[in-house]
Amino acid sequence: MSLAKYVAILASGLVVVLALLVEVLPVDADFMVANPSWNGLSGLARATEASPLASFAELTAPDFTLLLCLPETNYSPAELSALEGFVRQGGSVLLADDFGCGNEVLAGLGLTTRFAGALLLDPLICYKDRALPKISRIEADPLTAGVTSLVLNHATVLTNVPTGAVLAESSSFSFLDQNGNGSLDGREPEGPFPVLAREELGGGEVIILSDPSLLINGTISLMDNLRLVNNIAGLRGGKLALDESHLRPTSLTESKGDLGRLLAMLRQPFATAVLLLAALAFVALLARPAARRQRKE
Amino acid sequence: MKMHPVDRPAKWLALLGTITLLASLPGCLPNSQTGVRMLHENVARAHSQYNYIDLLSSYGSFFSLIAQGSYQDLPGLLAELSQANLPLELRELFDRYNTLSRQLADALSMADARLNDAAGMIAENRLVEAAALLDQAEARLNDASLTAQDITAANESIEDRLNATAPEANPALRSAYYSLVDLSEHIGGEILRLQALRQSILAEHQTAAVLLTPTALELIVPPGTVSVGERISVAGRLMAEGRPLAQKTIALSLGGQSGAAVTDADGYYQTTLPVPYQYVPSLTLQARYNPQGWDLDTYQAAASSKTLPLYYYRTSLELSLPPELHPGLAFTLQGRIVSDGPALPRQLTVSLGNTVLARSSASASFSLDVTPPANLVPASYPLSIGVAPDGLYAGASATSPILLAQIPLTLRTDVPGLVVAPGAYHVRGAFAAPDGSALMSRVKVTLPDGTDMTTATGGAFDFKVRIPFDLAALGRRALVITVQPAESWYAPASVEVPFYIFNPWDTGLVLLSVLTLTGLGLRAGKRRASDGRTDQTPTVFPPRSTAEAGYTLGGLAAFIVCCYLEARKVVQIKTGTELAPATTLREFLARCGDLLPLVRKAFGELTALAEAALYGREKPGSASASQANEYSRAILERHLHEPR
Repeated sequence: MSLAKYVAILASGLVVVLALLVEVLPVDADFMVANPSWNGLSGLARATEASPLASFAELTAPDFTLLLCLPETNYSPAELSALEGFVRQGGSVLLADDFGCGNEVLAGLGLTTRFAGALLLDPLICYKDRALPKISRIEADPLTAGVTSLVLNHATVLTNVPTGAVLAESSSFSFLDQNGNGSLDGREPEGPFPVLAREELGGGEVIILSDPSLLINGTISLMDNLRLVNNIAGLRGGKLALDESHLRPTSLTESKGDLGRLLAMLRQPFATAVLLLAALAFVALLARPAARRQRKE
Repeated sequence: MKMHPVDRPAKWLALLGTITLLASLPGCLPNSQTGVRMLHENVARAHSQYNYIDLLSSYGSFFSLIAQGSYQDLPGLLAELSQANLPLELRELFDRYNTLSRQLADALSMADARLNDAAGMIAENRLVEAAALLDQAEARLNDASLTAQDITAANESIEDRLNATAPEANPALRSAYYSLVDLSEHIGGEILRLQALRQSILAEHQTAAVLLTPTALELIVPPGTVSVGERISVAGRLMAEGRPLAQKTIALSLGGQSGAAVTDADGYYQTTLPVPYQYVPSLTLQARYNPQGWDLDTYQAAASSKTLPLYYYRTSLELSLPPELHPGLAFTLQGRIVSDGPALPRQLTVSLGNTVLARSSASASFSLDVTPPANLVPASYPLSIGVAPDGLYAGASATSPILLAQIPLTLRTDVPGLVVAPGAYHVRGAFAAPDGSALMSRVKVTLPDGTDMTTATGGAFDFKVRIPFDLAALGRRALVITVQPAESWYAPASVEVPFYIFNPWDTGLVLLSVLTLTGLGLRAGKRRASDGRTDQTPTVFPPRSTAEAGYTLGGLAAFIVCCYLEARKVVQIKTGTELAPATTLREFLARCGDLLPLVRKAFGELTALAEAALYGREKPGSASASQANEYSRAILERHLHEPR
């Protein structure tokens, strides 16, 4: 067997194996509903029967709560306009962000609240470590009914929250780690800080949470996190839609998408026929008798 | 490098495969986020970190606030400290420490408040009440002293458990502990300060008791019960050491309502007060004399109170509630208003959660048609029925949790289990309410790659669903049938119906491919076997000597030349042609080739092979030897049929 043939068979085999792996391996991207691992949102989807939002064109009837979880990529003006229209008509939006493009959404909706963008640490009132602050200052509100404690996971805080809009605050021992050294330094702001707020807009409302990781599988079951999520999901008839279009995909999710598109394309009759013919032609070419080729020469 | 035609497809495939491999490999690598801020951590794998230094410092701050007499922030601080992250083995100790701290803060805060109140009452000549407050403050300060001792003992336990003062202990922890002990010792100072304050207020009290004349206030109210809403006559007398006090103002209060009266020359006062509409068993009427102006230097304050039993008509509700409600579907609420008094029209309010469903008027039995909002989320809500109070009639309310739920529909489907794709098939079904009511619903059939929707009335539907062409020759598919009722009180029904598709076109193509590939494979196998045989030079091409013919050759070249010589001998015999010594192989072919038409082509090919073997630069291969052998045999076989 020639080296080229050997490499061809090896490469073809590996490509097939990799394609199978890409198909079989679970999604590993953060905040994806299809991700059953600790950093996915499969638990949230199960608990609230949330469904993904196909496109912002679906934001017509405000009969559900839209969850924007860590918007990592920018929103187009058309999307922001659709979002604003949805809220003004009476829709509810939960914007959960820490270090993403959340401020762009808030500015687009004309709200004053902003995400601070620095890490919230609490060395004392925390779950396991200081990056998992425990939130016990909860305001009485239908949204926080039955919620006494929340656990955040590498969160930030909210700033410029209007008076009366704060629903939960960090402890007085918390601080903003602005220089990222993990310790409280002289000029770093100290808590309490708002971490959950609600701003009304038109007939609807925007709930702003300074930590999307409260929703991931590894955190949602801690303390009263799930209860809060259920309260939010219950705002509009218990229907929750998730926007995954502004999450940054990983290589695996991209590969899965590519593979899915390829398979969908191959399912077309014409593509199927071409594929089969190509396969036949290729095998026939490989299997041509050597003697015949020599005679041709 | 010139590519051999045989290797072209393999090389292209190798190139394409390598590129695809390199492109797809990153997809299987773990998601790395180097250079990006960490979004979260896996809580299950997080290592617990306990910050005893901050914890001890925070309790130190707490004691510092106590020592400064700043009590207002203490409850919030303690509530937060009770949430501190601690290992299980220390949780109990610090919970107890937190409780002791709270008890200390409460006792000192209460003592401080009582002393302030007592000082204020002494300023208003209310010496009797001030004395009671001073006693309460003393009791709280005693509690605080005991609690402070407990905290000192608890400090030692903390030292033991944290090993805070050991030489190997973290200096910061040691410092935080010593600071805590130091600050907790300041509590004693605060207790001493409050005790001194109490002593000074007590001294003021004793001085005032000596200087001021005690007064006595009598309070007379009608005997028996009083009705809500009526005006009652209140009377009494103010005396100071047996002498009536005239022209003094008596302040009266009854259930939040206040009034006033002025004493006459004999110290008597009389007035009327309305009994507030409070439907409680009794209210306390209080009369108070607070010296004003010059009297502040002469008289002590006096107070008197009476408890008034109230009379009113009690009201209660007897209700008959349905087991559950349905959004948008009216229900009949039946009940009866039961009251001690004669039946009068009363205002009824029915609400579900925060939503008022109905307001009506009823005197005794009632029957109301009430409709819960259609857009209310199914859940358990408190259903409240309230009867407003009216004069002598007390109000009444009844609240009961009730389930707001949608009525499930039954859904039956008729879908073929096996369908031939592509094609169109009927999906039929029926849905019904439990009570058989006629329904009008939207029915949606969702295929893996498409959706259809229709409006069905009367509970039956019939779809024509198109199954598109599919790559799979045979496969399991599912369609989801969802019934979305127009009536809000019915729950949507959904069912996933599996079915199998059979794709004859694809099956044919696959079979054809398999057969073709099998045929090609078998052929390739045979050829390889044949090649294997011809490659075995030692057995198939036995070494032959060409020395007899005057050639010094070896290997396959000798074999080929021998084949040629054997064939040439036959040709010579057949054609009777002699081979002159200087005749070349090609000249011999030209001379006698045309004489033997049947073997001419084979002899020509054999001559070419022999020439290549004799004079060619490269050594002949096994393929050439095999061909030479075949041509030689063919000539030997055919010469029998060749005409001479």
